[in-house]
Amino acid sequence: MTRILESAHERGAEATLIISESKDTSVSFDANRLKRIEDTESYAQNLQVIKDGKLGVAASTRVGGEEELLENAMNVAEFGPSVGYVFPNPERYGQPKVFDQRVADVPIDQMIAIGEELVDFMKSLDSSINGGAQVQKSVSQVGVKNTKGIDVYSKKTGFVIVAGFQFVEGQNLLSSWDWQVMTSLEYDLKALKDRLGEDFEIGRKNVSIEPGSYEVLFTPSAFSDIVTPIMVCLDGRSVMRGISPFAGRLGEEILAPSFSLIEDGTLDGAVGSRPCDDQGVPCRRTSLIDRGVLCEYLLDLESAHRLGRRPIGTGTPAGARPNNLVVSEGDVSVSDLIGGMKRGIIIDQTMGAWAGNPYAGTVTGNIALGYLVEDGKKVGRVKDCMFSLNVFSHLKSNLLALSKETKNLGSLILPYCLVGGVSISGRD
Amino acid sequence: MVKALNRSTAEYCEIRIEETEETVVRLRGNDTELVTQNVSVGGNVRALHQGGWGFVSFNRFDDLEKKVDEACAQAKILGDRLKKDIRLYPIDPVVDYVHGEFKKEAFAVPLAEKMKLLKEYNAIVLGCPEITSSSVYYLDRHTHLHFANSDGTYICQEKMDVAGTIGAVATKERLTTQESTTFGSNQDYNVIMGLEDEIKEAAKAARDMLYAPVVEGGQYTVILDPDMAGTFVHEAFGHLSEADDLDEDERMKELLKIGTRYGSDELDIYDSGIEGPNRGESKYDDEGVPMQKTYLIKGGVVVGHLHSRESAIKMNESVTGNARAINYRFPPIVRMRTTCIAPRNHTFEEMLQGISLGVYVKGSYGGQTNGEMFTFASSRAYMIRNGAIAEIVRDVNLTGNVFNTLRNIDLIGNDFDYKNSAGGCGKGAQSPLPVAQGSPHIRIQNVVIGGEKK
Repeated sequence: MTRILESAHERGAEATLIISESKDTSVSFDANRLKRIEDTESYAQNLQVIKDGKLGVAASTRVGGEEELLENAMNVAEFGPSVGYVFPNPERYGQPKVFDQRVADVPIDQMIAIGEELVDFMKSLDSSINGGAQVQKSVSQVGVKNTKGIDVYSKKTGFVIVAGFQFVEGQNLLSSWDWQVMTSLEYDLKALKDRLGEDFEIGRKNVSIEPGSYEVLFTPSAFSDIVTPIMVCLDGRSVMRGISPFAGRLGEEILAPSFSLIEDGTLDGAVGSRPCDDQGVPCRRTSLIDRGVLCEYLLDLESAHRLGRRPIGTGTPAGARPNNLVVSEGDVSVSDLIGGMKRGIIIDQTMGAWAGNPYAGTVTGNIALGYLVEDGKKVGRVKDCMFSLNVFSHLKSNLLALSKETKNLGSLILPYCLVGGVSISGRD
Repeated sequence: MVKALNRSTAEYCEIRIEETEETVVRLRGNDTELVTQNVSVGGNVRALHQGGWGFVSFNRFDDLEKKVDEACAQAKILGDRLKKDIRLYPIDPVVDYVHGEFKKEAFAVPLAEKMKLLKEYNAIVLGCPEITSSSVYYLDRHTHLHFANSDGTYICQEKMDVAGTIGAVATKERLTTQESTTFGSNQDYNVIMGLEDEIKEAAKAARDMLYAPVVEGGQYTVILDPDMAGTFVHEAFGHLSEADDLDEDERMKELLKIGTRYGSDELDIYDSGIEGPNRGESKYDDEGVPMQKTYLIKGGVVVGHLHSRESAIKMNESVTGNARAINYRFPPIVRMRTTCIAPRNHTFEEMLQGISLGVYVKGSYGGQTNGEMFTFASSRAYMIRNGAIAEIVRDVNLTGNVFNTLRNIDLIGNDFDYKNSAGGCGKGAQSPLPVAQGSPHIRIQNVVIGGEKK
């Protein structure tokens, strides 16, 4: 057993230690030119102790700071939460495929070349465009150990490409961004360029719309704003306190039958995958909402204990945190979804939709990048207006379709989502 | 540090070393959810060579000289491609030890005392009618920051940060509403004292919102309270004034050109690092430049921008002390400090006069901007009917075009107030950076509020 765990045990505490170390390298392009190379080496230790039924948590990035770390955790445990759980015994842990040696070996020249190709493409759209890009790789390793004998080690790579532009015409600002995130090197620069090129083409033509109720196609990135309140309300801690509108409704049909949501920390190639959570519980695949029916909450050891549920590998000492959330895809292609819209709006980038009251389910945001669709064709950009819907009622009664294509946004994997009856307000 | 800097082969090189001790407490309902004590020790080296920046951050200090070599090597890779003659705005070297002259040190208050007070506040929340849960958050930090650069500057700053939120949650028939009061300071733990009345007021608002209708979407005359007006000026004009987004974009520069009119003669907007006990203010920024008060708009006209040493020289303007990094893992970029609308002489009653239908927006959940448009969500709002405050409404989100909305500010109040909260500002990957805002009440014509139209 690690020395710090032995010391904790000698002082009458059970303990879990997480040691993480990572190295990130990124190249950044701003204003159409290469601007920065950054290297971040980080090291951190996180210690949870349970002493006399109370939890203390401390973290430190000081190399060799174990004694101070233990002292801090023991000190705060006196004031910490009373917990009804104990740290788990060792179990079998999966090792999702999230390490790719090719990512670890990518030379800086290749990262620069990727960024240059994207920025050159944006410059080719218009010489006065302001293009930016970032290419980042990371290699990390995490060890989770506890006083019960858990000793799990995992390695992960990450590769992220972000590209976008800002284009100013008078007082009209068009900005568009897209990104790809992966654990391997399976990037697709053509897809990024196609998308940015299309935004540049159509986004410069503004069209005005009258306020009212519209059919709206949310792209995966905008759809994440709609999924967020659901995620917040699924949190076991808000359920156990009765704040969540999903409390006491397991087995009930809460959303449309076409909507399924899965937490899966075992997916190969997904950035959130890992052998176990921050409390030592193995990650697994769990249906949270299956064909509209509420099946499970996002749980940490404490909320699982209080709700009488089995933990699902989404725990942290302060509450649940999903690993990868997946909304099941539908069976229609994005082009067919757009082609089938008579008059509606595509919302791709939103602003301020995160601010609000998630428990009420109301999502209201500015349409930062959105298009009017008429007879199946994008006709121009809509701006200076807000969209508003209630997640719980709209995804129950007005969910029209989900696309068969999905996008990996990081730890969210989402399809496009077509919703009817979305309020759009703007100038009268 | 000086020895390591001497190895630099770049045109400019700096080292930052930081040690922070942090305490965080979270209470929810009847539970203590988290008490944690964290130590963060780390550093970085940043080097500039022919227009290219190299940056290395680390937690291991065993070979600082090697980190300098790495950052210089990266800068050289870039500089050799760019071959740009980008210098930094010249600053006289300074050697200074800034001892924190705090009014009351948050980090010196025993944890037992903090817990006692937070639990008392939590009990007040839970004792209010129809309140089902609470959300209490407390944070304090004590930082020692060492900064040295190849110009000969060496600065050690001791900093403190204390902030938090006391929130009330009301739930009835699957509707949950919440409202909170916040506090924050860079020098005085006492900002947490005496919040009882504010807490009760927040709890009452959370309860009232259970019975409040959702606001009807549309275009309204709005009055923003100082908190919301502060968020508005931060989102709507502060971000646009950050010169690292302007300095290489000719069209953006044109849009924000000195002398351009964006508001009435009454409108003065400034950003300051020397206002007083606000989060985000300090003697020097993260490039060792003294913070100062910078006017962005005076008499409705653009008069200045916020700068780092690089953006200042590129735009041929002076430095302002706005280069800030959230911690040692990031390079400094241009950020706000305390962003304000200066007070004028209109009373709140004057603002209400003549509004047949409007919205009074109090308290902010936060906001966002993409340059041309901004949006923000209010935590509490009331209808204004026939010149008087009427019923409470919920789910009020406002949006607008930055330039039109500034022009539409028609009255600026006389009741200036600062706002410090537990949140912060986000830019790039650096969030939440402590900032503050200040403003009196302001009145704006023709603001779009999201929501259904009945």
